[in-house]
Amino acid sequence: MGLRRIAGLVAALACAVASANEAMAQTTMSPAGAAAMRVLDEQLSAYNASDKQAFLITLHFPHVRIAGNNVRVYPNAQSYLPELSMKQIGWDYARWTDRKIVRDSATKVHVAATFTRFLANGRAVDSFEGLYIIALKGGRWGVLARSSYAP
Amino acid sequence: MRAFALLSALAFAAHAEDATAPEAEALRAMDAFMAAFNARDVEAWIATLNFPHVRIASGQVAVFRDAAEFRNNFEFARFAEQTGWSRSEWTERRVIQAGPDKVHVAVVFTRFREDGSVLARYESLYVVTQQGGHWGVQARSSYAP
Repeated sequence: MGLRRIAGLVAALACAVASANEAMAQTTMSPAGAAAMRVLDEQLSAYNASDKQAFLITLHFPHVRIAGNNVRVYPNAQSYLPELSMKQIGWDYARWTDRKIVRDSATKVHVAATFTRFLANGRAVDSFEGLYIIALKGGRWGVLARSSYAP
Repeated sequence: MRAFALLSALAFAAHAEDATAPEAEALRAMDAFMAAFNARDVEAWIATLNFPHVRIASGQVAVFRDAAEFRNNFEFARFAEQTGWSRSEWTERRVIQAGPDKVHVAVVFTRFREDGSVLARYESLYVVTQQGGHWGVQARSSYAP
């Protein structure tokens, strides 16, 4: 068996294991965990679409953002809007490259995530870890607070 | 002999590096936080925090802008009387993410009664930061009420 064929088999096996792990994670995820992941998906879609209103809908207020050695507390969406920058300069799209539920309950989920921005050719530009606190309030799941290693 | 000396020096350097690592600083701050809490020493407890300090629990976000605001919103005697609490301890601590100035720690803490029996056990998440050279608890998101 040639080296190229072995490498191909190893790659296929790795893909199969990753798919199986993802499928297993999805089937074992709690309803709260799944709801929190959906909110993060919606937030990223809004970010990629530069849609500020859609982004704000994924948040709960008061919203807390801890980043760049600052703690900012936004009492409402109007207070957050002026600081919400979505200019796609130097990148084309963003993806969650890692997400793990640290802890979940029926009304609150802690997610450790890594967020990566890419060029159109698929090359990663930058990547930041962060922690997301996602809560069920008023019948709606939203990001209540985040602590990020982004600037 | 020279090789042994070199290895010892390397081991010492590695140890020194560990001792000053952000994770170690954050865990030390959390040890001081718990010691002050158990000593019911509000000033020592405040000294283990960074402000503005955020506590997220029971669906509510409480923001304490400074030490004075925090001091006015907590009373150990009342807390002990209402809950039957005597002391607490970290049952589990796991660093989730770490950077030079910020560490995210997932914890489990246990509250005990005076007779040593377990009163309650909760999971929580601590955001520990370095501000002006001071490591302190900046935010907590707890599953306690």
